[in-house]
Amino acid sequence: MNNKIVFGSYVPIDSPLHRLDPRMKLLMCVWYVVLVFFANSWGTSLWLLAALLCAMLLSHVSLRQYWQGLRPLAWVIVFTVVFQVLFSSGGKLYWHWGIMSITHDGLVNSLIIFYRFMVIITASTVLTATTPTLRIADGLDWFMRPLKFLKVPVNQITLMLSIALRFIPTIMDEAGKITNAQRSRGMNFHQGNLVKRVKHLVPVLIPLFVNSFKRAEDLATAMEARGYDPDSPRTHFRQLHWQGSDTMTFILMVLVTVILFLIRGGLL
Amino acid sequence: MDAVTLTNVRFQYPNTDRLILDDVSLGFPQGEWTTIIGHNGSGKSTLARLIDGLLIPQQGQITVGDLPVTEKNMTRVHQQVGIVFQNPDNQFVGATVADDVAFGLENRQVPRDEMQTRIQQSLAAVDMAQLADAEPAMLSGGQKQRVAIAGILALEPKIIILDEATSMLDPAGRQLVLNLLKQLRTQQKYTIISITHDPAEMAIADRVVVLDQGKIIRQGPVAKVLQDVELLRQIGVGIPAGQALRQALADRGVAVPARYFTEQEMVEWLCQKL
Amino acid sequence: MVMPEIVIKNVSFNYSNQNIRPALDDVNLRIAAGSFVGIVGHTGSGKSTLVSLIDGLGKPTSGQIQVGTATVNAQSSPEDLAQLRRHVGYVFQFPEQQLFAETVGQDIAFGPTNLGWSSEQVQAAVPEALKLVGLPADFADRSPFALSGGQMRRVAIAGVLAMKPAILILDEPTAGLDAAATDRLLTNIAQLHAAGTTILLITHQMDQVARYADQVVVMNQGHLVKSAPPSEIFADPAFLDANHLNVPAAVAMSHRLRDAGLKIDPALSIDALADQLAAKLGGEHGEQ
Repeated sequence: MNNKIVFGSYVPIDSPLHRLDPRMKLLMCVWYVVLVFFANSWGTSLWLLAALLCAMLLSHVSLRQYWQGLRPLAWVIVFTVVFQVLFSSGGKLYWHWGIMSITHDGLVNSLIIFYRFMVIITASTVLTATTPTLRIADGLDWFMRPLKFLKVPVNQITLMLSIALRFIPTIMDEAGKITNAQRSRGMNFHQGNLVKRVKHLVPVLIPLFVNSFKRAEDLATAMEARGYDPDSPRTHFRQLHWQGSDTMTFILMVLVTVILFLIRGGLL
Repeated sequence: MDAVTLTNVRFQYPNTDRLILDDVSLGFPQGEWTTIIGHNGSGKSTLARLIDGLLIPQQGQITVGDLPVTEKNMTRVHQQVGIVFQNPDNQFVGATVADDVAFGLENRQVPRDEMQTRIQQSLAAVDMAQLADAEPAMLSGGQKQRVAIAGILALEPKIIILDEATSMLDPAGRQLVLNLLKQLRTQQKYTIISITHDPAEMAIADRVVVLDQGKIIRQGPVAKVLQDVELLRQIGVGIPAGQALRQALADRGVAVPARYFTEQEMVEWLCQKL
Repeated sequence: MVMPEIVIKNVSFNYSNQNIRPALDDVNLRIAAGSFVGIVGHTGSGKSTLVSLIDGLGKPTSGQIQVGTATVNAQSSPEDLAQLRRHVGYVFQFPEQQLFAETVGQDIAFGPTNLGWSSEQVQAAVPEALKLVGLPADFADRSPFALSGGQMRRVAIAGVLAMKPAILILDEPTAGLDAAATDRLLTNIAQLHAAGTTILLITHQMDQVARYADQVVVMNQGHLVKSAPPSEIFADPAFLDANHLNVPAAVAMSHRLRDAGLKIDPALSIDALADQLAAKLGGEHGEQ
C-alpha cells in the first residue's frame, strides 16, 4: 500500500550498479566508510563526495528518491550537529550561555560530523537501493565463510538474517494494522507528555511481540516439515557471479583510494 | 494399499493431562483424497503432525508407505510427506517465490542444476511460473499457498497434507487452491489428506474421517458420512448446501430419500419430482 | 441520543500521490441508522478503505463523510476525525491479534478508559460487554492469552462493544471459525442489531449477507457499484459474476431450478427455498 521509499529499501530498477556482484558492492561500501575517516581537508572531502555522486548517478535512482530515504534520519543528524556545536569547546569563543557555547572548534567539529554522517548514510543507501536485501545476505555469507573454520555457524546466521529481512514488511504491515485497531479504540498517539506517549506503545508492542512469537513457532514447524536440519549441509540455489564489471569496479576503487592519499599527502 | 497407516496411536502433549489422540487406528488409501473433520481441539492438526513425524506418539505405530515414522527415518518421512499449514505468511521462508521453492531442495542437498528445472516444473504445475521472482508481500494468500504446494511438489512426495490451508483465504484464493488439488488428484500420484471446516472442501473429497475428543467416531466415503446431518451438527461443522436442503425438506415432512445429495443431485431430484 | 446516520458524499481516497488507481473513487452512500449493511467485493476492492474512513482512521482525499453530527473532509484535523470514532466501533479482521492486557477485564476496559469514562462506568461496562458476546463475567480475571482462539475473538469483540458504539463495523468476523462458532457469533451480531446498533459487515460469505443484511453495498476496484436490498443484488447472477462475488447456495439452487423450468421465487436462504418447495411437493403427495 505504501509506496514511499524508506531508509534501506531496495529500488527495483536496472542500472550498472544494480548489476554488480553484491560482494563487490558490500566491499565498496565498507571500504568507502573507512576512507571517509581518512578525509582531513576540503580537497579530500570533496574528492570522496565526487566519488559518491558518481555512484549515485550510476545507480539510476533519482536524487529525490535518495532524499526521501534520508529524510526520516534528518532529525537525528540535526540533533547531533546542534549538540556538537553547543557542547564542544576550543578555539575562538563566539557565544555562550550556561554550559552551552559556540566556538570555532565546535563549528569545525560539527561540520566534519555532518559531512561524515551524510556521506556514510548516503553510501549505505546506495548499497541498499541497488541490492535486494537477500543478495546482501548472500554477499555477507561469502565474506563470513572463513569464520566456518572457527566453528562459527555461518549458514545458520545468514539464513536467520535473510528470514528476518523477509519478515520486515510483514511485521511493518501488522504494526500498522494493530496501531489502527487501537486508535479505533480511542487511543490517541499524539497526546500527552513523553512518558504518556511511550506508554501508548504498550498496546501496540505487546500484540506485535505475541504475534511474532507465534509466527516464529509456525515458521520453525514449517521449516522442520520441509526437511531443514541446522546441522546438515545444504546446497545453495542462489549463486554469486563475479564478472568483468566487478573487477573494473575494484580497480576504480583502488584508484579512488590512491588519489585520496595523493591529495592527502599534498602530491595532488 | 494404504499410503499411511496409524495403529493404536496415543498422544498427549507434555505437561498436560488431556489425551489428544486416544488409541487411534486408521488407514489412508493410496491415491485418494481424505478429509478429516471435527471440533476445534478434536486432535485433527495433531494427527497431521504425527504423520509427518513433527510429533512422536507416546504409544502405537505410524507408517508412511512401508516406512515406520521414527526419529531414524525422519529425513525420508519429511520427503514423502508435505504439509501446507494454515497461515500463508508463516510458512513462506524464501525472499522470493523461487527461493521459497528452493528451500526444501537446498535442505535435501539437491545439486543446483537440478534445482532450476525442478523449481520451474513445480511452479508451472501450480500456475505460478510467471511470478517466480515475486516477493511474498506482492502475493495474495491463495498465491502463497500455491507456492507452498509447489515447494512440496518439488520434493516429489507421496502424501500431501493440508492443515486448514484454505481457512485464511478469500473465496477466490480458496477456489484457486481447491482447483489445484482437484487437478493433482486426477494424476493419482498423491494421497491427499485435508483438514477443514469448509463444507465445500469436504464435499469434493473421496473419503471423510470424523474425529471427536481424540477418537474416530465415523469414517467412510463422502456420500455416506455427510448423509448424517445430525452428526455434522453435533461436531459443529458446516453442512453442504445440497444436504442442507434435503434436511430442510425432510424437516417439513417431504419424503426425501435418506441418502447424500450434492447440490446438482438435489436439483435433479426436485426437477424429477415437480 | 439520536441514532446517527452515515452520509458519504463524493468521497475519493488515494494512499499516496503516485499514479496508481485510487483506493476509493467518487463514492456516494447513505446508511440509515439501525441498518444491517453487508459490504462485499473482491479483495482490494476498497471495502476496508471505505469503513476505515467511516471510523476516522484516515481522511478522504476529497469529498465529505458525515456520521451523526460529526463531519470530516480533506481539511479535517485529527480531533475532527476522533469525533467520528465516538459513534463507531471497528472490529478488525482477526481481532484476537490485538489483545495486549494482562487480564480480559483490563483489555476490555481499554477503549472506555480512552474515551474518558469514570471508573464506575468502566467497571460496569466490562461485564456487560462480556455478556453481549456470550462469555461469563468471571472471564474478566483470566489472561486473554490462555483462551481458545474462538474465545479470544469474543473478548476482542467485547473490547469494541464496551465502548457502546451506535455503529459497529465488523471485518470478516467469522474468518477461521468453525461452523458452530460462526453461527453463535452471527446470532450475537443479529441481537446487537435488534437492539438498535447499526451493523456494517464486510464479508466474502454471501450466505451471511443474504441471511442477515437489509442493504448490500457492492464495491469493485474502488467504485461503489451498487447499493440495494439483498433480494435485488442476488437476483442477477451475471452482475454477481462481473463483480467477482459468489452466489449464496440457496440462490444458486433456486436459479438452477428456475432454469429447469420450475416456478420458484428466488430464495435467499435454504429455509425459504425449502418452504416453497415443501408447499409444492406436499401438494403432490396429497394427490397421490
